Amino acid sequence: MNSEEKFAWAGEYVLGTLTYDERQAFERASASDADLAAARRYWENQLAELNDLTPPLAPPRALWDRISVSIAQPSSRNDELLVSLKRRLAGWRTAAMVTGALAAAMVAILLARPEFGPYLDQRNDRYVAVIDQDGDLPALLVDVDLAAGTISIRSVTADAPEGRSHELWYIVPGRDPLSLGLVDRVGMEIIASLEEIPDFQTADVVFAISNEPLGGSPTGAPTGQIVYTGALFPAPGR
Amino acid sequence: MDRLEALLASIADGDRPAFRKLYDAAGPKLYGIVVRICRDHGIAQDVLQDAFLKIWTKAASYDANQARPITWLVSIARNTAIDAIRRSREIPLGMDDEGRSVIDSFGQATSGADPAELLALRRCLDGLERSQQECLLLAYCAGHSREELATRFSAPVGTIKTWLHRGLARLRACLDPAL
Repeated sequence: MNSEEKFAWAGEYVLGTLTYDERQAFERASASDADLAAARRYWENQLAELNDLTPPLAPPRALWDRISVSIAQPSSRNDELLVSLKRRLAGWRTAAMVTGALAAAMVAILLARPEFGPYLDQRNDRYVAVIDQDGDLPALLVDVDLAAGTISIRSVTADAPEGRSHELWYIVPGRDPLSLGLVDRVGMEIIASLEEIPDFQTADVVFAISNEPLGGSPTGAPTGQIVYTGALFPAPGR
Repeated sequence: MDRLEALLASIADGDRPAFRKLYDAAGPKLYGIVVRICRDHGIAQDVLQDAFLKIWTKAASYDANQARPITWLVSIARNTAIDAIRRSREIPLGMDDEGRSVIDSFGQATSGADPAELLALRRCLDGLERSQQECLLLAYCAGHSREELATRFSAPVGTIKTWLHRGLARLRACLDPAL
């Protein structure tokens, strides 16, 4: 595509005359084509003057309420998200008493499946977490082996969306979330040394997967929507 | 740093009162633009909500070297509006009052003015053939698709596409004569 064609494509994108599919294709292409992105900015800036042709109109009063509620959702923003996670964590401390047995049973079933053969060797110093979306199909399994000093994370069903990364976080109350790495594809496994986690603890731990830009969070803290969460439980004995 | 730019910087740090101030300052402008594109107040309200959510989450990515703050805000709102109508609207709409008022307001903004005092874009748009000029205005300001423009001008969609491309190319040649 030559420069003229790029300006024509970007121009139609900014005018708004592309079909929905063509718009999606343009956005994908301009994400990796600096000339196309520059052509888009050129038209956005040049045509901006036309914005003054349309008179302002006061939005209905209730709209601000909707917007202010929507930015308070945990998915919309990092700080809200952490507050919400901490709240869930507090809930888990009591809920764990009740649901721990259920989760443990679920883990037992998962660990009994042949593909998790290595996990069958259960000892008292093992802890596991099933990371899922509100009790849905398990997305990832976390296995902590205190004796070996390792933490393994395996993605079971969770592929990151095209062009995005799934980042795993270790979260305990009163501390910043710690990234344990990216788990973008089903079958991916991370095995890390527990020594990499300062003051590793097994109580009150929540693991969370956030949806991040490709390559992981640019800030070192979760920036995107939390898509999966799971608490850490003692592994079921055999 | 202008006021909107300062507000965006605060919003990037999670400052909710700043977000409210930005909404009060820019909301009416964005809502007017979005209503004109969506031609439906219900859809326009959903779009504006969605656009402000994007502004809240993307404020840190605003770059003052790339665009003025209001241009950045309008681009987010327009793109959200156009995505919404392109995704949902199947039946091409004909010329309506919003389209008429876009053409009229452009005419009023340019007629009788000394060409030397007109801003470059308006002067260059005024130099286009009428059909090309109206296609660009109706697309940009009133969200007309190629099909809607084809109905409006009783021309095949392929012809509309050609007008749009020629109009854009001539506009660029007029805006940047060095090219």
